Amino acid sequence: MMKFLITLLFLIPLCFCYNYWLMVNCFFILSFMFMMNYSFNNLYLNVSYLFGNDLLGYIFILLSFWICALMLLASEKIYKIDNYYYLFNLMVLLLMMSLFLVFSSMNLFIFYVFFEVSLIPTLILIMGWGYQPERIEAGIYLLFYTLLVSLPMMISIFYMYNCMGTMMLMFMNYQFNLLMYFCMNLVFFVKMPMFFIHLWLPKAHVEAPISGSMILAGVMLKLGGYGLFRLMSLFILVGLKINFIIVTISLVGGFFVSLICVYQSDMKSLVAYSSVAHMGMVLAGIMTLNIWGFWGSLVMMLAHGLCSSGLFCLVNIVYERIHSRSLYLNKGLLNMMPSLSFWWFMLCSSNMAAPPSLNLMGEIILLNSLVSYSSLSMILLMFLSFFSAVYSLYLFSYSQHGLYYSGMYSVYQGVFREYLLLLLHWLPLNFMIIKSELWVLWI
Amino acid sequence: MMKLLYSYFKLFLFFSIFLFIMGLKFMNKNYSMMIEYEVLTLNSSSMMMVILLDWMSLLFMSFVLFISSMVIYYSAEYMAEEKNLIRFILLVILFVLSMMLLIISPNMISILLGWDGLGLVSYCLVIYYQNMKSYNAGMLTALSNRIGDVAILMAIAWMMNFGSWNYIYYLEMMKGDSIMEMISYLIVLAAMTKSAQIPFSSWLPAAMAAPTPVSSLVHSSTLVTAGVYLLIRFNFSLTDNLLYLLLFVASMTMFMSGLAANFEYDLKKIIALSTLSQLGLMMSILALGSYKLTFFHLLVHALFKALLFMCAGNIIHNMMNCQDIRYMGNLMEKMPMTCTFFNICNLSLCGLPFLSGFFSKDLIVEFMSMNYLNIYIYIIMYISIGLTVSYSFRLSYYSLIGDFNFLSLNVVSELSMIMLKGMGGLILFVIFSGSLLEWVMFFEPIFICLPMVMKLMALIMIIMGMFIGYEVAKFKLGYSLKSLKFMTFSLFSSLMWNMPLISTLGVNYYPLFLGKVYTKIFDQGWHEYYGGKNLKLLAKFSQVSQSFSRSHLKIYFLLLILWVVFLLLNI
Amino acid sequence: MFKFYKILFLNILFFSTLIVISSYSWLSMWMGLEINLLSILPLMANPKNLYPSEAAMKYFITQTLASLILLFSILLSMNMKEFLPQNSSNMLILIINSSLFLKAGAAPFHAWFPEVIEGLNWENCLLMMTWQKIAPMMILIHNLNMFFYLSWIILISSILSGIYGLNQTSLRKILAYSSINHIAWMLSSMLNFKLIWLLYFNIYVILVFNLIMIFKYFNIYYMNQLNLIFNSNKLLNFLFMANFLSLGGLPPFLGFLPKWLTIMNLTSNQFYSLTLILIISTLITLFFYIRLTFSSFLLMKVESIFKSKIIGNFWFFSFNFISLAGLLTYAMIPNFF
Repeated sequence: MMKFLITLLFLIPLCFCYNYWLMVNCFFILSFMFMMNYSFNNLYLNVSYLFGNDLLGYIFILLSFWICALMLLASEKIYKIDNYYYLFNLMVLLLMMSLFLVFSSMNLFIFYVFFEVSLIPTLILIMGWGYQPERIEAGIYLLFYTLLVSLPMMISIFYMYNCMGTMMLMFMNYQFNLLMYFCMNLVFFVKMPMFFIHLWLPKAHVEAPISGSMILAGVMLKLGGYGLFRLMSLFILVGLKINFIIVTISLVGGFFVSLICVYQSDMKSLVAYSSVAHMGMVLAGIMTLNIWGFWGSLVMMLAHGLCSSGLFCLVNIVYERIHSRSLYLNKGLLNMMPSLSFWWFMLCSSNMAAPPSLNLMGEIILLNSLVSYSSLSMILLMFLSFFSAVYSLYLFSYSQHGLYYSGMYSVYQGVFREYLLLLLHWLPLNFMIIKSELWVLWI
Repeated sequence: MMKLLYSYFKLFLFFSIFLFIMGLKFMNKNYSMMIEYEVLTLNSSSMMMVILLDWMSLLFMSFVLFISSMVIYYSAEYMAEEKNLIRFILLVILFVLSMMLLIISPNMISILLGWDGLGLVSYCLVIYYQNMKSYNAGMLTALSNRIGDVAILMAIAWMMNFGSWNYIYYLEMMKGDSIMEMISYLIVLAAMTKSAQIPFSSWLPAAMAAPTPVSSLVHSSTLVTAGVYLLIRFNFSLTDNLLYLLLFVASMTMFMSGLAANFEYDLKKIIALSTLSQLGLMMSILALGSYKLTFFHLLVHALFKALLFMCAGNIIHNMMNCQDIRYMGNLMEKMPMTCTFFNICNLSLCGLPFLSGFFSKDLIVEFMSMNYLNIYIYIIMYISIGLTVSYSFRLSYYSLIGDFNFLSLNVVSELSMIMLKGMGGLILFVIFSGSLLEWVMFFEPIFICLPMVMKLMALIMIIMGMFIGYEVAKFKLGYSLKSLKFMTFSLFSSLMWNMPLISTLGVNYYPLFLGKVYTKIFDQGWHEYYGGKNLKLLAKFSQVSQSFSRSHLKIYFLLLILWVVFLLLNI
Repeated sequence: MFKFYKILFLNILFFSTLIVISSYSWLSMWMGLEINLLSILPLMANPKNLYPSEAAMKYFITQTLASLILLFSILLSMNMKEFLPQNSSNMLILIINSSLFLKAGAAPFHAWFPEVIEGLNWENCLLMMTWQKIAPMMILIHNLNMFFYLSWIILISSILSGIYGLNQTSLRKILAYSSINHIAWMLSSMLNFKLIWLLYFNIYVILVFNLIMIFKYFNIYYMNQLNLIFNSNKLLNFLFMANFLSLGGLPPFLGFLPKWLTIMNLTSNQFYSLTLILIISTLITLFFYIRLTFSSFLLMKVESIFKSKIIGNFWFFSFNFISLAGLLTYAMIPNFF
């Protein structure tokens, strides 16, 4: 653990060096090196001080390494127009460090601290490199929705400490009451985000630069799921009584949000809302408290992290050419960038859980979990699944099909970097299913 | 690019022949083979990629590959002017590949690979041309198919109770079980969407927006037959009630589409509707209990329908992409070969004796007559057969003979050798495959014992249909417009009982409307009200409280003194 | 112009606070407070500007009143009981505490504080917000036994500071209200464990010092002056923002440390709702901190030609670095032993 942390630490001077691609390379090398650290069981490995990872943490760290590398790859424009790219590199690095520490901490409080820490580089990314003035509002929403519920969590963490006498995640063995349930988990619900408290997410996604959207969709949302994975064992008794409320909210909310998706005209906002819908399903899966739900949620989160990050990349690639995210202007892209259209299709279809994507695997496992939880959830799941196809296809066909915008005078084809970027999103997404046992060994 | 195309043609042809031989061998030895690749085992239920090779899948694959090899060959000329030919070819290949995957997998999860793949690739193919019509058609197709996908996903969720998704093991064993019943309802729903049975019929004619080779592939052997094939696999588990339901729906579909085809003027749509009616036929014979006959008709139908579409494509290609049969006529003179093929296919479709369609169709209706069922099924089955003949003859009369109605400046000719070769590869099978397959598939003949009238009923209906088709073909608008008396009826029938309207305008309004409502009420309404936006109350409060600190030091000190005095009084 | 008398009075100021801290009797404590007051007044005065004098006047009246009440209550207690016992009549303690809150500027008694701060220059603001808090707070530490009253003061301070601060555009007032908020935190930190107060106070001093150093250097007094001022130097920009986040108590920065300790201490003593309200109201202050730093957050591309000399200032950056990376350092140090 420490070796990666120290490596990250010593990457800081490299941020200020004028070679942007070196940084990208370093991230990729780090993520490949981290892949060597795979553990085939659920035990904590590589323990040093309060840090160490089991398979769950490992998966998320790997995801964040990967997404961070792709973030840098996607934000070439910042380098091109010299938009403080050294600061940008630093922010990505700090974000990576905080995510690394979040996912590898074995102590609840350290987890909490770095959970908060990861908020700040994200905030700076959104406010610093976003495009519209509305990014201020978005940043504020992001910060305060999270902080409003995460600070009470701090109290409950200390309460927990007083009850249990430890904050080490693996020694936790207690059952808490309803109040603690909400104090503790509400922050994860916000982070996921659960319907009703998801408002920060579309705003933050829409206003964020590509890197911000990617990391938000790719990893930050998964922090909520990760926290729930870790902590739900403390709330089994109370969870059995009231989890059905959360399941209902997230499934009904997922359905509503899917419909809201269909109503969007901003591509980024569509993708953002679609991640609300997907994460609603993940949350419902976790809340069933059965093993299938946990497995499925993890797989789904992993898949969603790659897939929706890839979709954001696509939106950004288009945005860099047309300077609009509106679905009314981005039409007929098939005629301009036919090869990119392929990636649009691949990622949109992955988003609607078409085989052989990991989304499908996650969705199947989650369906099993949720239908065995309550067969009534079938109705909502059917709608959810159907409308996920509706908005994915809507996004694909509305942007790719039809007559292209006549006000567009020049456009350039995709470059290798962009195709590589999309390939690196898509490849793990569709090939991990072949050995998907790797992602279910953690429990 | 052409090289790629031809190499795929050769590959497919080779595999088709190979698989056909293997299929015969497997059938002869009553042999089947399963290959399992385990993806994941969770709680001892394993998700597997399973490949099942038995005579049914092998034969079906061989037919699909044969037809698709011909279609690919055919499209070398049909799509020759296409700019993105490589995309087209790859999509077709992907399409065939997903069909293969669907055919060979007896596992609920691995079947999704083919099932969803078919839906998605067919979507790409339908929206291949960049116009609004194909866009709408594609959306309709994909979303109708998605309902089936969702049903299969739900069936997977229910199937977890068995501990495995290899449905083929559980079909007979668990028949009558409530879970199996649930699963079979869902599967029937899925099959109905894929095979465009009645509530979901509208996508099938709409999918004619795809390029004609694709239509030929989609509507003959691949996409639409996937549902039928799934039900053939599943038929052991279907309960009686479900079968009655299916029978009713399928027979209605058959009747509806036959009727609608009689009113249609679009060449491809007529053929599409005829496909729909044949699908209804297959479904109803499946519901009557003979999955083998279904499969028989499936294969035979695949052949002649593919060729029918290819002929139509050739005609359309020559007519400068005009599909309206009112513009056609007297094509017999201009393109004799194509029209011969066209006619053979049409007659085979009608079930004219000793063409391939006859063997399956005649057997089906006689099997139906042998069953003790109600008069409704009997009548509707025969009427549908009559309707099939009727629209086929109408089509022939409109397009093949009569006056030539197209532009006076035209080059309608039959110089398209590649297309003709592609078509010629199929024609022999259109003629012979019925008898061949019957000899191969039915080792022991089905015992049919019927009175003379009932035995000849099929022929009678065919002759009646011929007459009606001839009469219908002569309708002209210039006649005294007595048809206006039946305008509502004819509109209703020609619009497939309003199904396209219902499944587009009828269902897309409410989700969009609700999306708007939810956006307004939730995301920009109550969520903001109780979320971020209403915190301006705090700012208001702050402004109000600011006024307390305006030239206030006197009051402040006074209050302070009062506080101290108050405290002192309490000492 | 070098004013020696200012150095003199500054020394006396420090000295007087030390008297208060280390005094053994109530009278010398009071005396220290008076010397403190009298020595800061000349520091405030500026013959060329009217506002400091006004502020000094306000400050003088308030502090005198407070000292008076303190003296009065001391004498009263001497008369009544001949000593000031720890658990004497609640009302007496109440009076003493009230006077000390008045001196420190805790919330219901806070009204003088923003007014005075508004008239001062940044150095004096720093003095007012940091040094002047030591003496009353140290006395408070020795006289804490009315938790209920103290809790109310904490609650009112935290909530009022949040709400009042939301409407300000003057940086000095914002810092004043933030100071009131921090007083609430400091009071709650001294509830159970005095050392945390010490830590809190020290860190608060560091943070405020950093901020005021920046403001002083660029001579910023109002919010609208913040817009483009840091564009010459992105690092400074970044430090500015980070300092405010630190002041708001967000984790990677030093400001989180005392809040963490305070919350931990409060929760282990079952002050749950108090902590909750304290935290939530601190969020409001965090909101207006972040509002100040919008211009820094936005990384506007407009570069100013004016390059500030502060870029090369070693002490400035090292001090800032300590304040920002302090939490990590603080957490890391025990690991090395």
